[in-house]
Amino acid sequence: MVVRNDKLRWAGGSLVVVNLAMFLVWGWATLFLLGLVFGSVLFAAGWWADEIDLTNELPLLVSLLGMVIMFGSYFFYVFANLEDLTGGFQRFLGVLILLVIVQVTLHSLIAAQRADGHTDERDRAIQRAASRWGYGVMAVGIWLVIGQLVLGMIFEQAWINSYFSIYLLANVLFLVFVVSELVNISARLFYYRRGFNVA
Amino acid sequence: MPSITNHVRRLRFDANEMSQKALADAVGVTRQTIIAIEKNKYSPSLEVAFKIAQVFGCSIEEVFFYQ
Repeated sequence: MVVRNDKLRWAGGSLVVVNLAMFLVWGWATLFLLGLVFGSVLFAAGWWADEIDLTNELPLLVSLLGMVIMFGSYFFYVFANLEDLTGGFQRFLGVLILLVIVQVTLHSLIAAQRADGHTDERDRAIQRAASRWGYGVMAVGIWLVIGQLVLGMIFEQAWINSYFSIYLLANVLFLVFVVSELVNISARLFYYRRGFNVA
Repeated sequence: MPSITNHVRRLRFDANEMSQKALADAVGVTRQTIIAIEKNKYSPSLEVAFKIAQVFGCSIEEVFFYQ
């Protein structure tokens, strides 16, 4: 028997319709795209409610997609417009505010869903294993940035002394942190979905 | 390749159709972890395995198998 979750389907469907209307009226915007994707994910989760773990997998999936869209839009703008520091900073603040809103909403939803309000040994083991993946990616990224900087200095590359090199470097390091967090979330999603500590 | 399987689902059914939530509360894990154990997606720690066996009043070998 297929289990449906009507609350999720209604919430997801409404989010899709509202954001689609705004998208058609005002045109493309990251916020509307975010709403459309969140709405579609919630609707799909409500439709196949017995296929997805609503307490662990759904919040992680929403978090992952949200981060990809928000930071994807930010980095797309920043790396294409390196000379526009003001625009980049405004977008950074926008992404930060959106991220806080999404995370607060998600954690409230998780707390409401999980009545006992605690994590157990499986959650903690999955968090530890996923953190190792995230940390590995972060370490590799930071070493690559350090290597690039040192090589740039040795071979006296022009960009290293250009006025936007600090801004570029800050954003590349920021990208490394974001990618490592994305890997962390993806690994947790993978372990919840495919099983963990299975002999 | 050998793997750890279990009879948690059948034992729950035999124990007056105990709910996953009731078992989870009795052993101190979340309901999602009981679901993962029943689907063979997670092998619990020895402590939780013993607690599960204790709830059903049987030995650990009657709940978990390595085959």
